[in-house]
Amino acid sequence: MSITSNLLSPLMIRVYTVAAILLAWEAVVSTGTIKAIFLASPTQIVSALPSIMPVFAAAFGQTVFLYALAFTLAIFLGVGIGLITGTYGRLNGVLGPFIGMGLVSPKAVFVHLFVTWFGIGQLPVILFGSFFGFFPILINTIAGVRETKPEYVTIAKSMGFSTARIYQKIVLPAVAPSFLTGLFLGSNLTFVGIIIIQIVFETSRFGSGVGGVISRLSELVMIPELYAFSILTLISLIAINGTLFYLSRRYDKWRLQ
Amino acid sequence: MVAFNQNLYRFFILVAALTTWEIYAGFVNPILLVGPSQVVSALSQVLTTDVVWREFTFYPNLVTTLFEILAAYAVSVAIGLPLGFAIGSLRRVGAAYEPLLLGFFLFPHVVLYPLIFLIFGIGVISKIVIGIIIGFFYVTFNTSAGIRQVDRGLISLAKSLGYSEFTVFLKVVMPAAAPTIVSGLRLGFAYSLIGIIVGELLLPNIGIGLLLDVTGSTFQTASHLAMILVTVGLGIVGDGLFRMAESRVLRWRFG
Repeated sequence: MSITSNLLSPLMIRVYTVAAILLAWEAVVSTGTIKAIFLASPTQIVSALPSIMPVFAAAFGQTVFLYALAFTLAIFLGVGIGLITGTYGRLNGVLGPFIGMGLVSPKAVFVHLFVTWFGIGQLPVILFGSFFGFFPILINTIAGVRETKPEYVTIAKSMGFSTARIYQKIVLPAVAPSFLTGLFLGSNLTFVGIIIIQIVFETSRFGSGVGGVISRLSELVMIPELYAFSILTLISLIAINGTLFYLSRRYDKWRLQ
Repeated sequence: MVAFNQNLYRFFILVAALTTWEIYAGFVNPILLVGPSQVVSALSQVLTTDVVWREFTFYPNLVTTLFEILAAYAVSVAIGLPLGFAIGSLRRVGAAYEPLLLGFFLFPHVVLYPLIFLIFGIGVISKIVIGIIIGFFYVTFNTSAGIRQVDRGLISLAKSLGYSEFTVFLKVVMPAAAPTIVSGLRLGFAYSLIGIIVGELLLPNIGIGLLLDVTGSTFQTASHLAMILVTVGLGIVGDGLFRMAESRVLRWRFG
């Protein structure tokens, strides 16, 4: 009973599904059912890993550095503007639709303008990443401030707390959970922005980053290397985002204790 | 005392921003920035003559992009709704596959787009695939969340009154889940559009993405800003239509 239920647990069903997809993938490529020009089988990808590893390490190191700068900037702007906007209800009401538009509009259209305005160095890459990461952080900070219980603030005021103390003791702890969600989403989007601008301006300008290498590999039709590189990138990004996610959960537990 | 009018302030902010932009643009090189008046005149020229730059025409590319958006959205809904219903109402399926989907949703897919271009070609199909990949998650997750948040008490009450599973679904689950599902349908549209535009920008050979690329890389700043305006406008108009439909569909709930 327990063995069968273990074998059919949700986790095992996931494992079966992924295994089935990998096997089917390997089968259609190696038997030639699907023309393999643009498909690499899992075994081909694994054998391409050693040769692509050094290229990946260099490119990812460069991109993570840009990401760190871009994400820091996005956090500063998002939290700063978010605290101000969230505190003043009327300001929030007036700006709400503009901010909402910023969240769901296709920000990628500004990619050429960023290069026109900020030159061909790494500055447009950093700023474009911040531009992508900024909105989720802003919106979640505002949402957090709005969730602060007004009674707490009133009580603190009546007890003679200064504004700074109120922010420190009441507003910021109330903002934290939704801010951490914003941090996670923002981190993801910062990477998206950086990779988009690197792919669009690959050959001429920022060829050394992750997006540039991906674009170059696909132009050179180095298929197994392209798959291996993309998968390495994804795993690394998932590791970074997963860490953020884990930290946010841990913080939440600590806060509720 | 005059009542606080949000729209008035919004209008002031817009006017102030446009004025600042217009004045500032007067002092900088027109390659870097042109004022809103020139953007509007460039846009009206494009709309009347159909020419964006040299042999690049506007309307055929706009139609291509619109077609891609609608196709991607249609498929997103066709996949996303049933999947969301399955995940939301069948507990085992949800427990097994939701983490998998969530994991796929929460990483930057943009890394995979060059692969998608290689597999699906450089035409409209690859762009549509990207639009689907971004769009269908919002439909799926909102649908499953909407179904999960239905009050269990209502369902067991309906069942105890002898309603069939199907009637319960139609009369209890659907009305209660509708607002969340409908907002998922709206988000799905916005994100399908984002996917299409990103796809067209990463491989700019058709659609509005091509026009953005051509005008951007030749520094036709007025036409480039006009094309940005068109793209962002598509999103805003689409979102506005969905909001109108949303309030219409959901009005009965409060009637």
